[in-house]
Amino acid sequence: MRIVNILFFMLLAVSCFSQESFSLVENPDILSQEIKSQSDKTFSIRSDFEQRKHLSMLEETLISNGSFAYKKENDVKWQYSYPFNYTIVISNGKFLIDNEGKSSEFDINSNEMFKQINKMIVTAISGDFIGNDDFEVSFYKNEKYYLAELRPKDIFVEDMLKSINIYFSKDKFIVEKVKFVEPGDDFTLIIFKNREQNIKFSDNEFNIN
Amino acid sequence: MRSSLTTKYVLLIIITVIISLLSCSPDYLKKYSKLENSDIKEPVVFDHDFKKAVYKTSFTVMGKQMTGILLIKILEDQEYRFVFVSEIGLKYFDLGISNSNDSLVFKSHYLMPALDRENIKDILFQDFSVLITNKLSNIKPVFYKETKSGNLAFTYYETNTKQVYFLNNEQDKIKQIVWKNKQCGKSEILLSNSQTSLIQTIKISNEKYRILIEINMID
Repeated sequence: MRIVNILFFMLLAVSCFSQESFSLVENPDILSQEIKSQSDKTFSIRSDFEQRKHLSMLEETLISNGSFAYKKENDVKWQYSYPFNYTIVISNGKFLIDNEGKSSEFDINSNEMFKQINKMIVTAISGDFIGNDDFEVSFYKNEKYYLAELRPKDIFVEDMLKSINIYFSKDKFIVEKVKFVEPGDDFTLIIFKNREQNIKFSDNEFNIN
Repeated sequence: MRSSLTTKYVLLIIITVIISLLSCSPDYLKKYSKLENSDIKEPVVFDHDFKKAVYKTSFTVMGKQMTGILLIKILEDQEYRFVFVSEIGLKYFDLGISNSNDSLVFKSHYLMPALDRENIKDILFQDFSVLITNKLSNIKPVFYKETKSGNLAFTYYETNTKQVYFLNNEQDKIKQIVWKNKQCGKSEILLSNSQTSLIQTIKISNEKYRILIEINMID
């Protein structure tokens, strides 16, 4: 019986370790303040990114990469250069898409899904979710990151997403990775690299020509 | 006497119509004649070495367009999976087709709410299942030959769906598939290969439900 117990606890320990060994943050209010303060100070971001779409049942990961730009309050640009050229801009209430030279435009409010996607993207990358009623937030930490796990309250969003996991660096409280976890445990992980902050963009940055 | 004659005429007309319907090939096989006792081995879209392929894909249904990446993969249990995700990683659908005791099993692992309509699901399953021509051993193809060019075509008929496969000029690859049934209308599928065994482009159109799927291999 004793051996069974030991084995059980060993398995539990391995299982916890495999989940990147995160533990609950003791003082979430202090961490919230730090994140909010960093978010308030951030007016723009430019960064490269790698996107890994992990399909768990198929044991497949689809990798894309490109560059990313964000300007407060709601201007976002994802410019994919691999595996093909594709740009999506969210600006002035519109989704603008350039798909290898073919442009299209959608009104964000014309479609509930677009609206929710926009909200989730901006929330995740800006780290601006403190006091946001759309999500239930839990904070965790490990040696390298603070992790904010955002679980959507909206049923429509819940159908698409189980949680948004935002990984902050422990020293500067900036967003380093975002993981969009779907029901069924497939996920999309976005890793930001070469990040620059509070830079000035040209007037055309959030246009598609 | 007059009534009996009318009945005979009506019967004659009905019989003539039935005979003419039975003897006619479908429109798209009009110039073809049936090959009796053919032992030709039908080519396949995905050969036996096929493991997976990734395609840039555009899917338009009822005027709404979705774009992204389509992954086609065969799993160890021989289930073919067709997973379509947007560029930003949002999953549109994950459909599985497998063979259980020589009948096809369709499984919707995920379908985003906007696409979760019976007819769209049925058409997608039908469109993808006709690409897996080596899926059932109990259904034998019937071959046809075009009189003028000598080009070959073959048909399958299963569960109320007629499927016609047209071969290229070399008669070694499938260049077009047409399937139709009462419920889903008709889909036309154009395929192109390069030197590799993997299919390069697939274009699927279904007029009745205004569906257009353009699938292009990512270089």
